[in-house]
Amino acid sequence: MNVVECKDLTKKQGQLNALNDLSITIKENTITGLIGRNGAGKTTLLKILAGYWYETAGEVRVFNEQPFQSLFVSANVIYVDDQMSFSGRLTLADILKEANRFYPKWDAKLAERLFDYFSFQPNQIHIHLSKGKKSTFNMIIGLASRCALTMFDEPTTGMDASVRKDFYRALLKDYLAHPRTIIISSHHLEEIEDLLEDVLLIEQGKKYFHLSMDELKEYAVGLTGRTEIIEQWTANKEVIYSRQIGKDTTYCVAKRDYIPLEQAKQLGIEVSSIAASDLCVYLTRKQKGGIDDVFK
Amino acid sequence: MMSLNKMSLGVIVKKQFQYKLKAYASVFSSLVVLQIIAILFSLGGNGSSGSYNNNLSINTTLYTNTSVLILTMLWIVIHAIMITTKAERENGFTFVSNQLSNNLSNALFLLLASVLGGITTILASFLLRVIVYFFIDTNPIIGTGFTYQLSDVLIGIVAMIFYLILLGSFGYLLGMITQLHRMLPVIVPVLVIGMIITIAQTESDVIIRLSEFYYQETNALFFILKILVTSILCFIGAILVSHRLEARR
Repeated sequence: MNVVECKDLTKKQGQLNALNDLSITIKENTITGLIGRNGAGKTTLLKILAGYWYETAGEVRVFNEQPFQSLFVSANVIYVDDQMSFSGRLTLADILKEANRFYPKWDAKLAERLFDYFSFQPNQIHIHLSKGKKSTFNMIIGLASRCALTMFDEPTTGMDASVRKDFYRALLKDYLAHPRTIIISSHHLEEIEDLLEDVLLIEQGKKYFHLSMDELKEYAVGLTGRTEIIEQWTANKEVIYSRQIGKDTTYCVAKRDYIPLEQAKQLGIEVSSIAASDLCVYLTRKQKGGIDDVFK
Repeated sequence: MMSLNKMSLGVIVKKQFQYKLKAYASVFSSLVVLQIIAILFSLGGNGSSGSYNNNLSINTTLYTNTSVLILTMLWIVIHAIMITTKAERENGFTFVSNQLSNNLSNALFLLLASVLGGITTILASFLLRVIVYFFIDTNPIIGTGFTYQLSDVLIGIVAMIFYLILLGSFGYLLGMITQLHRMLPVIVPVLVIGMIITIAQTESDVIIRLSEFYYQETNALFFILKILVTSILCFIGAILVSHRLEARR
């Protein structure tokens, strides 16, 4: 069963199309990484799926229901980000108690253990927490609520390296014990790639690709070799990225389908695999060149 | 097949209402503080007059709980508007909810606030009397010699509760309308005040008739009906207005 189905989903924010004819489906019980540059539309997509925002055009279905204003969707979906706001009247312990009342599948034991592990104090107030602590607490709510669709929007904002590691590990363990559909948006694909089954890359509100992690690893190859040979080779092919290294050596990234690899090796081109996170960065470059060109 | 949570609107509204009781506890503590301040204001007397005739001089001081009444009315309007603000609405969307459940739980909360406000306002008038009797004026106080019928007190409380309900739902509708666009928090007050001034200048009796419509209704049933219908219309308006409001910007 598909948990999420979008067809030609468009969302206008002012003059800009935050989402532009986006069509995706997300299957039940998968962990999907939602990857994209700043402003690619990740948060917009997640907020529409959570039922907070409505779509401008197109169709969106979560559990076969239109999510906006749907209680059914709200009861089965949780959206976790660093903007979650709780009344300043409630202590952290109160918030956990309230969450327990709202989410039927709430795991109070897990919440309590994580709460202790990350050394929260029961009488702390949410707005007084530091950025990293806030994210950590929100993560506890996201995990313990056990919603059939759990969405984390940049969940590790402000967390230190060790808490981030713990979070990914906790997420994976809880997912294995209680499978559900999880979407994580992040800038740090390298951190979460071991966790993910699928990767959805969006760019300027459009789907770039939606591949399984294995497919993504096979998507492109890195080629290093003499510049003229590389240029000759990649002449009519889709080059994702290329960079001059050394005097007449070029490194370039190209889609694997186009390249007869054995032949390349014979010509002295060094073929290397490319990390998924690097690939995503290369794919979503806005233009050729880099920040250095700004200062020229 | 995954198991999905199914929760009815009624259950969610109840849970949200309970959440709001905790989250908005300060609304009630502010009521207590406010009424104490109002009582202190009233201790100076709301009006006094003196007359002198031959060798007889009469000084009267009027003690009323009008300040309590007016401040409580302001209190309900302000809080009704405040719970429609963006920050509060976002708090309301932290857990399972939609606009309808959020509006309904707010309505229940305002209803409870009106009931508590109504009861305390009327009881405050007795407190005022007691304070004046014991601490301020040793001279005869008119109105101490007789006892109130319980039914009179109850009628006072019920009337006050319904005035608060009316004002609360009106404030709530107004607050919700101002949430539609970021210019409206400026425009709406200007419009409302401007309209009142314009109406006053044209010497039209709209306001008088409007207040007579609610204030001078002597038939209890009609009085309650008028206010209930108006309040329910206000809330339906607020629900319709907020239907397209997006949560969690």
